[in-house]
Amino acid sequence: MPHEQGPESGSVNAPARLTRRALLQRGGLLAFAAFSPLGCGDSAQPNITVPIGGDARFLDADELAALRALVNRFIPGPPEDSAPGAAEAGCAEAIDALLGAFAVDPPRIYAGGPYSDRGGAATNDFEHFIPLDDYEALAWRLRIEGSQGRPEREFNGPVRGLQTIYREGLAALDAQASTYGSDRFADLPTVTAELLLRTTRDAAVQALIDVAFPQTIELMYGAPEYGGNRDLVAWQYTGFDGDVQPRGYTDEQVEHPENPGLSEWLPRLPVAIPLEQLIALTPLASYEGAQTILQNSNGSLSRLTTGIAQVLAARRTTHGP
Amino acid sequence: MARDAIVIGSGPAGAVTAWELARQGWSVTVLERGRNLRPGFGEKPSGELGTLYGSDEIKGARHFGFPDPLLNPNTSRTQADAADGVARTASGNVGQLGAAVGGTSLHYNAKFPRFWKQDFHMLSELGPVNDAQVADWPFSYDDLAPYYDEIEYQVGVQGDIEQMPVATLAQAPRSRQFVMPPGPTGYAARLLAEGAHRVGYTAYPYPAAVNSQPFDGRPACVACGLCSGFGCPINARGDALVSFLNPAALTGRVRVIERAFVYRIETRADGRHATAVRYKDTAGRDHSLSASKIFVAGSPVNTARLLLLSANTAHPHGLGNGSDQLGRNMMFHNFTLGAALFERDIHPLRAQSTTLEIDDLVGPFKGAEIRALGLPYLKGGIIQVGSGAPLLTEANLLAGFTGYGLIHKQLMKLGPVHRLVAGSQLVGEDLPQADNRVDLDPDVKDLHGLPAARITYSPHLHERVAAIVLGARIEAFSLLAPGAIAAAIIPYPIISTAVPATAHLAGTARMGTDPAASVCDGSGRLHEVDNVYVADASTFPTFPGFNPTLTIMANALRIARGVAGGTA
Repeated sequence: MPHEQGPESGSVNAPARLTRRALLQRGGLLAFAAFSPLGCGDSAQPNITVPIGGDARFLDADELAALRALVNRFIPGPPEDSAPGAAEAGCAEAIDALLGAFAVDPPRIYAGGPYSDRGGAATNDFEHFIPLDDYEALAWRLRIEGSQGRPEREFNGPVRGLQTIYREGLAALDAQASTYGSDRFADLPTVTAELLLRTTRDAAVQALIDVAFPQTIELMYGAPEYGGNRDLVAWQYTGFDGDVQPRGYTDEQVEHPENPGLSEWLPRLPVAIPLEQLIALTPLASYEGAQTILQNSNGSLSRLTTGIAQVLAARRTTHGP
Repeated sequence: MARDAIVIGSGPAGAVTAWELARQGWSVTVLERGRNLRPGFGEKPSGELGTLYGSDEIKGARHFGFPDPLLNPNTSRTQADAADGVARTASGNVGQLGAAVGGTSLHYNAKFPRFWKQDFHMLSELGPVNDAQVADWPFSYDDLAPYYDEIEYQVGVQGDIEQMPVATLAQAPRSRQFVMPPGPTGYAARLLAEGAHRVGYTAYPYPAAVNSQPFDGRPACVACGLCSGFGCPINARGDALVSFLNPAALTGRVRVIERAFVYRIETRADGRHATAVRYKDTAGRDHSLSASKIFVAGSPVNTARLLLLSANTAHPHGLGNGSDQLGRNMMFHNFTLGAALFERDIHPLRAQSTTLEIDDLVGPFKGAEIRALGLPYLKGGIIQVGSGAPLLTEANLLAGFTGYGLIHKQLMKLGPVHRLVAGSQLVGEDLPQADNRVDLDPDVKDLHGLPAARITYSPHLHERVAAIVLGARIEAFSLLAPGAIAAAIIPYPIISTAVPATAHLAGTARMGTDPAASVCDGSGRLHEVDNVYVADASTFPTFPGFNPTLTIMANALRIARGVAGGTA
C-alpha cells in the first residue's frame, strides 16, 4: 500500500526521502547559486561509470568529454547546484548511446513495456528494449545517420543526421575554445565555457545546442533506462513520482492528497523569471495543451522558444504589457 | 454478392466496422499503416493481451505509435499563406494521428461524451454563418442514440446519469445508466469545480471509456495520471483494439495486415465501382486486394489523401469528388486552455487525467455582443477539467521559456506545470470552411515517393471570438478555485492562425443528401461509387465541441450495420 506515508514525502521513487526543511534549504542555496555564477569555480568533471548501452557508442573519448562539459552547462550540477546535473546523471553517455543506437540489437530507441520495477512490478520490462520493425529502423537510421546519399533515404532530399550534427558541433566547440586559450572545450573554466556558448555565432555550435539541449532534457527527465536520470536524481529534485504502474494511486491519494506546503516558493522564484510570464504559460499543463508547441518544435530548442514566445506575446495582447 | 470487405485503417472507425461486419459473418481484411503494439492480438482475449507501452514519456517524444515525421510528413500553411502562393510553412507531424493497430485510441484520453441534438441540425435550427459551410447531418441524434448506447456498453463507459446537468440530458437523452460508476475525482479537478460552482457552472463526472471497476476481463484504472498520450500499461481503458478489433479478429473472419500503406483505390473504367485496393509495404513492394465493399477509415487527413491519390479518368479530381468537396471542410477542435496556479502541490497528475466535465460553455450564445462582431451565434464546447502535465513535457515547455542553464533547473524544482497547476481545456467547435482543406503537396513526399497531404487551415472568426469570450469565463472560474493565486488562459485561435495540434479531426468527406454539396450520402457511401464507403470522422458535416471518438464509433457502427444489414 501506499507508497506515501506522510506529508513530507517528495517522490515515491526517492530512496531516501527529503524533508521539507532540506528541500527549502536546498532551494535557498540554489537561489544564491543562480545569482552568483562567478563564484562557482571550474567545471567539475564528474566520475563516469560504465555507460549504459554497452557497445552502443559513436563518439570518441575527446568528443565525449566535450559533450559532458556541454550537458553540464545545460543542466549544471555541483558545485553550482547541490543536486546532480546532466553530466553526473549520465546524459552525455546516453546521448552517445543514441548516436550509436544501431551498434547494438535491438537498438536502444524504445524501452520495453509495460512496467519498470519502480511501481511494484517484480521485474523491469523497461530494460528490455523493443526490436524495431523495418519502418522504425528506417526512420531512426535516417534521423541518426542522415541520408548519406542513399536514394531510399532522400525522397525529400538530403537529411543531416544527428551523428553529423554532434560530430561537427563538438569539433567546432573545441575549435572555439582556442579563442580562450584551450584546445578543448572540456578544459575551459565554467564561466569561460558559459561565455563561449552564450556568445558564439558559429553555425555548427548553434545547430548542436538546438538539438542537444532538448535531448539532454529528454534523457534527464525521462526514464533512467535510457541512460540519463541516473539514480533517479532528476525525479528526486523535481518531486516527480515517475512511473507508478502497476501500483498507481489509491482513491484516497487521488481525492485527498496530502498537500506539502510549497508556499515559500513564490519568494524563491528566480528574479530573472517574471511571475506574470510564468503564469501565462501554466495553461499549457496538459497533453493537449502542450502538443502544439511540442509537435511544432520537433526536438528543436529554437522552435520551442518561438512557440513559447508566441504564447507570451498573446498574454500581453489580452492582459496588457 | 460476396460478403467480404476491405477496411482501410484500424482505429475507432475501422475497428468498429470490422467488428460489425465480422459479427454478421463477413470476411474482412483490415489494412493498417502502423504496427501491432499489443502482443497476443488476434490470439488471446482482450483481458490477456500484453502491451509494448509503458508510463514512459521518452517513447511518446520519439513518436512511438505514431507515423514518423521524416517518413510520413504532412505539410501545412494558413489560408493567408495559400492566398500569397506559399506552398507550405510547416512539415512534420502536423495533423497526424496515431499509427498502430487500433489507431490513436491506443493512447487516447478516452473521454466519451455524446454530441447533442442541436448539433445535428445546425443549419436549419441556427442558420448559416458567413464564410462557413454550416450544414445539417443527414440523420438526427435520435437515429444515432441506439448506436451510442451499444458502443458505450461494448467499450465500458464510466459515468453517472444522476449527476449530469438537466440541460445535458435534454440535449443528449440516455435510455439507461452508465455501464459503471465514475472513478475517483482528482483533487485538482475538484478545486476547479468549486471555482466553477461559484460562477454558477456545474462540473460532473466525465464519461470515460476507462474501467472504474473490472470489466471485460480487464482491471480498474489506478489513476496513474500518465493517460492521454500514453498506452495504458494495465489494460484499464476500453478502446478500438480491446473492445472491437481483437474480439473481431478472434472470430477468425478478420485479418489485419500491419504496415500496409494504402495509396490507391482502383475502379472500373466507368468509375462507378471499385475493383481493387493497392498498398505498399515498408520496403515499397506493391500489393493489391479486392473485395465487394471497401470502407475507408484512415481519419480525415489520410482518407482525403487516399481518395485524392485515387484520381483516374472517370474521377479526374479524386475519387468521388464530383462535388469538389473532397478534402474541404477540414476541421480541428480549437482548444482554449485555462489554468489556476496554486502555492502548494495539488498533484494534478494523480487522476485519470481530467476527471470532470463542464457543459456550460457549449452554447449556442446569441447575445448582442456576439452579433456585433458579425456572428449570428457562438458555439463553444465542453470543458475538460483538472489536468497537469508530466515532467518531460514540462521540461520542454520551460526550455522554450528560459533556455538552458541553472535557471531551467531551478524552475524544474518548483514544478509549476506538474504540481502547482490545475488545467482545463475548452474543446472548441470549429466551423467548416471551404478553404480549410487537404490536398496533395506538390513537392513533399512520403517514404514511397508519393505526395504528402497538405493542410491549408485557418480558424474562422467564430473560433477566434469563442476563444476570447469563453476563455475569459474559464479564466474567471479558475481564479475562483479555492487557494488559487493566479489564473491564465491561452486562446490558441487568437495566438495562431495555423493548424492546431490536436487529435480531434473531422471533415474532408462530408456526408449529406445533395451529391452536389457532399462527398458521401447518409449511409457513408460515396455518391459516385457504389461500393466505397467512408466510415470515419471525415464524414462529419460539422464538428461540435465534444471529444469525438464515441461519435466516430457510433457512426461507424451505423454505417457498417447499414451495409451488412442490406439497408445501404
